[in-house]
Amino acid sequence: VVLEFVASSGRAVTGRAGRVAGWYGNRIRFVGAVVVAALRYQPTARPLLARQLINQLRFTAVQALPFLGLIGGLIGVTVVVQAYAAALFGMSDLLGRVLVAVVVRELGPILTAIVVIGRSGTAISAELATNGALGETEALEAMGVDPLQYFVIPRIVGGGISVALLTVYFVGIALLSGGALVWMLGQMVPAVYLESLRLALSTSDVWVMLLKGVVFGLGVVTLCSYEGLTGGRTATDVPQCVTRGVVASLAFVFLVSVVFSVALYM
Amino acid sequence: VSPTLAVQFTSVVLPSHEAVVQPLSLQVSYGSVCVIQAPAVVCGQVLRLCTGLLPPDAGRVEVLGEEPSILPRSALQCLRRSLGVALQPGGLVSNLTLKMNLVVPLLYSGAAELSEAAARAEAMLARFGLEAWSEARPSAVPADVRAQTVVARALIGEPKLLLLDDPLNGLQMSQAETVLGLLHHTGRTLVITTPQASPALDSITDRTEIWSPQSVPTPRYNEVGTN
Repeated sequence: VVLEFVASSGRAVTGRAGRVAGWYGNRIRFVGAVVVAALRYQPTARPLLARQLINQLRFTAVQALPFLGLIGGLIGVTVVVQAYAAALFGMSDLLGRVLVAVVVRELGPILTAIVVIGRSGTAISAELATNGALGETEALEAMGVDPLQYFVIPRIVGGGISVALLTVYFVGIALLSGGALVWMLGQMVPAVYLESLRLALSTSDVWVMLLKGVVFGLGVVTLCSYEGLTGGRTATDVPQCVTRGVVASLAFVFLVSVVFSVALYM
Repeated sequence: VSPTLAVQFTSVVLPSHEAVVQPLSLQVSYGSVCVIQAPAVVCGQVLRLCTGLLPPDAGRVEVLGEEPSILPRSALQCLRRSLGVALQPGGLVSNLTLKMNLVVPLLYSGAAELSEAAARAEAMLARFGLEAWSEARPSAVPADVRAQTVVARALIGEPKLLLLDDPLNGLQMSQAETVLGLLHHTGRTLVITTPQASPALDSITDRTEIWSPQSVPTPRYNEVGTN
């Protein structure tokens, strides 16, 4: 009985490990195929690529500005309120360091990526799965048009640029709203607040924030595109593709964020 | 001279993964028109085999001297660019106008620059009498316009071989005559799959192959998943 239990447990572990390896393997192969497709663009397709890229930037970046601005403002206020509660206002240099550590290094890129997952990642998964269910992807493939070139690459590039720019916007709004609250509370004049941020913020913080934005954007759109492109056979597949895309993207964002933090700040 | 299309297989796998077993052996020579009459559920699968979208279960498919199932991806794409394919459902890209649906394959195959491709697309739509719809999206046009646009898209790249799945489906008699006239006028090798015989189709056909398997699985509704 014990041997049987050990054998069945071993089979279960092996089976699960195989599925996990397959999960990662499929996505890594997808990334490889995207890179190869990107190197094989016909020059004649570039005007259309540029048009799709602009559309993607408009949808992912420009249309997200109001909502992201609201979230950024609220986060800035929340962090400053917590700093106030922790009696950090007397130590002006500490307030700047807290804001940089929390907003610039961590929350800014993560919350921006989460908003992009909610707005654009879901839309990309749903649209690509619908393209598949309606036979559009197959029709393009049958004509020799690579669906990765037509559907996926403009979205991935647009996602990377958008999340990087939106992160800067989010952090800017958060720091401004935090500064406004500090000033309204009469705890600190703007010049002191700005000076504390200037002392706390290094050039590397800005570069890492931008890099995180690019990595999050590329990763989120790639994962959502993979789920949409490979999962859509019928209409009932569409919501499942969206769910899988969101879960994979969230896991990716938090995992990469931890890797960045451990690698850079420990 | 090798045939434009040579097909030899014993079964076709349906989207439901069930196999329809019935041998089919066919050779289509350059410039001829061949109609394969088969059950509706199988028609598209036969053309998917020919385009390499579906690997042959057993047997061999040779298109323009190449075997799609063993070609590397880039070579397969090159082969497909010399084909004109129209599958069911038509698969017009829903967020593009009818004109841009014709432009996309030209741009991505490197056959034309944007301005030239747009002019060719407009000319092709005009040949089908669809110029009034050129700036409309597929969802905004009647089904017969969509069906004709799918055929126009297959023709736009001046393919060596046309593979059309039931191209007259949903068309009125006059529209069917226009489509068949245009197809016949191209003088290209033409393979049409259809579930039912049609006198209009017979008028341009050199050869009709009837492929009637003993039993074809009934299409089933997919299980509805929990979201």
